[in-house]
This record gives sequence, C-alpha cells and structure tokens, in this order.
Amino acid sequence: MTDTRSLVRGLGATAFVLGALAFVVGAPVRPPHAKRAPVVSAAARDALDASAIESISALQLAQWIRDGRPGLRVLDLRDTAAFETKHIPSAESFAVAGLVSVLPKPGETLVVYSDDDLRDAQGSAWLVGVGHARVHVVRGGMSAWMTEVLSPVVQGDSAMAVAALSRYFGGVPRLSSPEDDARATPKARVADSKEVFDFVARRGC
Amino acid sequence: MIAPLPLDATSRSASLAGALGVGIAFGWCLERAGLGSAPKLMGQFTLRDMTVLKVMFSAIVTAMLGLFWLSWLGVVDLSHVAVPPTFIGPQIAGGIVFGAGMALAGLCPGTSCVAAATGRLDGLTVAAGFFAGVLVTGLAVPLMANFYESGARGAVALPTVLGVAQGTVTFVVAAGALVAFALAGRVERAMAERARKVHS
Repeated sequence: MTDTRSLVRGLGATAFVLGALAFVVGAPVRPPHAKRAPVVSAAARDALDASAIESISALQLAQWIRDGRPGLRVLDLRDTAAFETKHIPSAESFAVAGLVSVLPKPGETLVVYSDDDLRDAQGSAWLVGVGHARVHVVRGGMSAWMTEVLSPVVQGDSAMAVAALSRYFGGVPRLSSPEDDARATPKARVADSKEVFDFVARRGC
Repeated sequence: MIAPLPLDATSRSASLAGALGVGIAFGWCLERAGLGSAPKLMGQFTLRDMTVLKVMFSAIVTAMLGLFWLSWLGVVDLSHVAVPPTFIGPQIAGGIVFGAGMALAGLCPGTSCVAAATGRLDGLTVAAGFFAGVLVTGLAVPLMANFYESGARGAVALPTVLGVAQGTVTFVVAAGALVAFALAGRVERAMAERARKVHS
C-alpha cells in the first residue's frame, strides 16, 4: 500500500516536473539557434529568388486545410485588429517583424497572406532567407479567401468540388456573380441556391 | 499519416499491425483499470468512484508530456500527428448525444469493446448499438450536409486559440490533472464517509 502510494506520488512529481520544464522550454522543438534571432545571411539573400516562393490560390489553401496537409502552417501578416475581425481558419497572427520567432522545421509548409502585396513579399522573403524550404503566398490574400472560398461563383466541371469546399468553410457558393444577382429576380436566386445545395447533397457518404 | 507510425503504402501492413497492438494494449489497460464494468463507470456520475477521471486524465497527461518531449528530442515529428478539424455546432451536438448515451448505457465505445471482449452481455449490446449508430449516421450524412459541415474552424489546437506556447498549455494541463486527482481523492473519501453514516 505504502509502495503504491510512493509510486503514485513519484509519478505525480515526475509529471509536474516535466510539465514545468515544458513551460520553461515553450515549444516542443529544439531549434538550432534558439538563443539568438535568425539572421538572413548574404548567401541566403543570394539564394532568394522568385522560384523559392510560390503563390497559390485561396482555393488551393482551402483544400490543403480541409485535407489536413501535414506540416501546414498558415501565417496572417495583417494587423491584429483585422485578424480578430476575420481570418482564415487555423491561421496564426504575426507581424512581419514577429516572423523572427518562426524557426525552420523539417517537413513544414508555410503559407502567408495579408491584404498587401508588399507585406507578403517582405514576410515570405524573410522566411525563405532564414531557411524555410516551402513558403507560399496566397494570391489576393484575405480578399481572395472571401471571394474565392466563402462566396465563390461556381461554374463548369469544378463547380461541385468548389461548392463542397466552400460549404466546408461555411461559405455560400453562388451560380452567378453579385452583379448578376442584383439583376436577377428573387425566384431565380432561390433556384440558384437550390441548385448549388444539390451539388453538395448528392455527395456520397 | 499518424506519428510515430508512418501510414504509407510501403509500410501499411506494419502500421496496421502496430495499430492493432496499440489497440489491444489500450483495451488491456482499460480492463485492468476496471473500466469494462458499467457500475464502475456509473460511479463517476455519482461521484462515488473517480477511477474514470483518474485513468483518462492520466492517459491524457502521459500522452501530452510524452509527445511534447519526444518531439523536443527529435524522435516524433508533431507535424505528422493528425489534428481532427473543428466543427463547433455538430461537435457540441455529438458531445451531447455521446454523453447521454454513455450515462444511459454506463459504457462508452472503447469500454463497451472491452466489456464485450470479456463476455459481458451489456458490453455486447452497447457495442452493437454504437455500430448501428455509426451506420445510421453515415447513411444520414447527405440529408444533414449543411449542419454536418457547419461551424468549420479547421484543425485548431489550444495553443493557437489561446495565443500561448505549447509548453504553457502542457504545464497547465499537467498541473490541473494533479489538482484534479487530489480533489477526486477527497470527494471519494467524503462520499464513502457519507455512505457509512447512512448505513449506520
């Protein structure tokens, strides 16, 4: 009985110590240069070229998030207020200067977005410069997410897939643009909505 | 891919064999903890027996500390650990249905499998019930697609939501578990004392 109690107390103390050390360490990675901020070397700057940073569409990002792409990390470079108002699901808010804390990690794919091309370029260039192998920028940033994912106009062969993807993120796919909607009769708009719903409802389980 | 078992085409059989081994070990642990017994689980709801809280919280803390430090040591790549996506409304509804079912049956899916494996009739019944529930829900998904996919937040985790380091969450959960264990022991003793007074 006493032995069991001692064992339980020992395990409890071990858990507390490991938890406290986790608090001190902070992140579950052992960065090679944790004690100093990473610096973009001249060689790294030379290595930085347009091919190192690929732009992707908001739809592509949505697909990656939905599919749980391993190692995916989405970084929102807008200001905190804009991030609080709305952001892409799973995104983390960072100022460009704050990217110094984003250290390279094997197998990681970084996707940055904002509503400012210059900020995207600065952020992605910094990330590539400090050694991140896969860095992508969302074309059109948050605005593209709003229009291409949350309120897409679905047409053609990809209509069903895009509608399902949009619904996954709580979006409202449309069969016509807002301008066309403004000209359409209420009855036509209802018919359009039903047709889009049918795309999703036909999905198998 | 689920770390630390790589689930790709070349090692699929080995991964599935590993998963089977982990499943059997998990079931054995549940059985040894007494969680294959419905009265034991019901003791949690009546606060007479806090074994469920202790076992489950111990498992959570062990896994959390283990993954944190194995990742820190470079043994496990956390980016390969699948994080289920969050759907606020559907998951709240699912939690309510799950909780009601567990309170009524006295068993959850895992413990019902353990109970069924040890030949308990109630375990077999509950396991049959949840398999039927899974089948019916799967068939009904197209009918409730709107609700099923509503409130999607993607794969989120506490450190991201709270804006704190993963180590902070790990420490708070570990310390919270120790406090919960201490309180659970007191509650158990108080309930036992109360039962003795009622019977005397």
